[in-house]
Amino acid sequence: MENEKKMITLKSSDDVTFEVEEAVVLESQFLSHLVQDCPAPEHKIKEVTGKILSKVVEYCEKHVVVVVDGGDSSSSSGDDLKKWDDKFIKEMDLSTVYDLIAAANYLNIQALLDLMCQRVADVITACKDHKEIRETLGIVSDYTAEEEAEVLKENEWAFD
Amino acid sequence: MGDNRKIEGAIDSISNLPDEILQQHILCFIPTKISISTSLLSRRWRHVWCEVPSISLDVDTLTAASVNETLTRYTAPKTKSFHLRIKPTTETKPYIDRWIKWAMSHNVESLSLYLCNSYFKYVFPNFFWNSSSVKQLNTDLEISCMIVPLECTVSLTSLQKLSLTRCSLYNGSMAKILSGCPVLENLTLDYLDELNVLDLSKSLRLRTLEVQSDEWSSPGTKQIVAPHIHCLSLYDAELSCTLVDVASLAEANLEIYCDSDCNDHNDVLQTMGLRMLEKLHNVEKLTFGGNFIQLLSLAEIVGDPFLILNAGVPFPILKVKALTLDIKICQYVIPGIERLLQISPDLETLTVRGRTRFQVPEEFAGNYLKLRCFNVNKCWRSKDGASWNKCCEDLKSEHVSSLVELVLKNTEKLDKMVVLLDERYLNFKIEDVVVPTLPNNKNVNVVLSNTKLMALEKW
Repeated sequence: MENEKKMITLKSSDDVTFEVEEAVVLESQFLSHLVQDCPAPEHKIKEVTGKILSKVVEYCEKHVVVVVDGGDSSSSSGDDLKKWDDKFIKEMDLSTVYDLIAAANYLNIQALLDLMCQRVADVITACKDHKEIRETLGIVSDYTAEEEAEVLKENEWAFD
Repeated sequence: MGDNRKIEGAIDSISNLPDEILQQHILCFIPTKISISTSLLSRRWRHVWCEVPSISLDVDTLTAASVNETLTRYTAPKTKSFHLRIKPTTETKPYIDRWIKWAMSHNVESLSLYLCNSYFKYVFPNFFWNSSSVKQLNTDLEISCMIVPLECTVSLTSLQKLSLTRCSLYNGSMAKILSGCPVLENLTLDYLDELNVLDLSKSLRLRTLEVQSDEWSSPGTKQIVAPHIHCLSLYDAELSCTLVDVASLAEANLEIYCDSDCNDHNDVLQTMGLRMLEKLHNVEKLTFGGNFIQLLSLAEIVGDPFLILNAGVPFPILKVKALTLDIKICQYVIPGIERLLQISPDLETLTVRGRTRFQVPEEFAGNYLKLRCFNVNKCWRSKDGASWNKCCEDLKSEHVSSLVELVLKNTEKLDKMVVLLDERYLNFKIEDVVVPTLPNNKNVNVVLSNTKLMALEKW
């Protein structure tokens, strides 16, 4: 059976376009509803930039392919996918991770959201104290010295 | 860590993420103690931790008083998951009970308790066994203690997934637990202890069973009656389990660990192994570990000489379509593989993964055969006379070619063969492996790949 693949164009907030197979779009709950409800050939996603959308597309394309031929046993495809995920995330700086979290949340792509959040959780867990978390995650404290001392006192039971 | 952790000209975009993401997707993956320390990051973060739907407490790094304080300050209306790691003692026992009660009162769905080694015999309170919210329960006890009090009834009406590790079980307590979990789908037992009969015939929704039996007990003395399960994972070191009824099984994963070179014991194990194989004859998806294949090799080599013991237990015909072998390629697994292929006429996919969980030292099989007066220099050859490497470090490209040839020769319906080789042991380039072509196996897709040895998180 000849399988004509339906193509859909996604346009980012800064007008970068991506032509993808429909199956790729279906990885996103948000987009699959959008495509069903309004069957236009092109969809503009105002909340996501081209840089981030390219990452989203890359992730979804990889995951679609694996689900299709993952049908034939051998967990190697699962292992390969995990390896791919690890590499995907290792090459990414944290600001991209945050943007991808926001995008995955908006587009409702659960697996991508989990992957990115797990990365942030791992980074936080690896830090020795709140100062290191701040520095690593780029968080700027707006506490005054007095306030910080107060919070420290409030939660002192938890800090040795 | 690398430079990519720091953000140049940082815009604090993590703090702009909504509470829901921070709480339900990020902080819920980290221990509560660290979660609390995020309150010091900035005003935005001061109260975020209080509503994380997951609590994970390790009482090695926290005192009982600080756990109490944490639970007092915690304001989330619902705690989806509660994890506690503690060493039970006379002093901590009342706390453990209280914290479990706290979790239950927060309608916890996933409860996980790790009680570390101590001489104190902790017995779960009755209310532990009565909850309508718990869907997933994990307990890991390093101590052997009776987990269900005699007079207690069990009612876990929503429990779908139960994992009991190193819990002291006996027939009555297990039956009690099972009858109180009407919707159980997934059961994991690590360490069977006194349990002699695992009767799951009344657990109508149970689909997945995972059993690890490491302790020494005589072969075949424990019975598993599981007519409804679809998926079985069995690590049965001494083949102490007998599969009495696994009529609905579609997928099974089996490995053993017996390093006995005592003649009689090994003979019994071979018989038990063949009986196990017989019980799996209808299963379409099978995974076997290297030690089990080695046992089949011995049964194949020894074959007739001990017909008395093996009476009535020939190699069965299998209906397997997808077979995975967790083996390292060496001579000890070859006779077993050859026989397996011959008894699997429907085989469509064969995967050889270059990994083995706790491999039995190679000399055991050799010693056993010597005691049985076999010529150990000859008996490991495959039927076509090809000779094989003794240990996996000596694997050469021609051995891989020979394995592919052996498989192609002994299968008719095969359409895919995948060989994954552990790159740590690889002394040759994977491209150097010559894939033989046989006239009647034109369409078999042979995939060779080298891979980092993956941890056997699940075998």
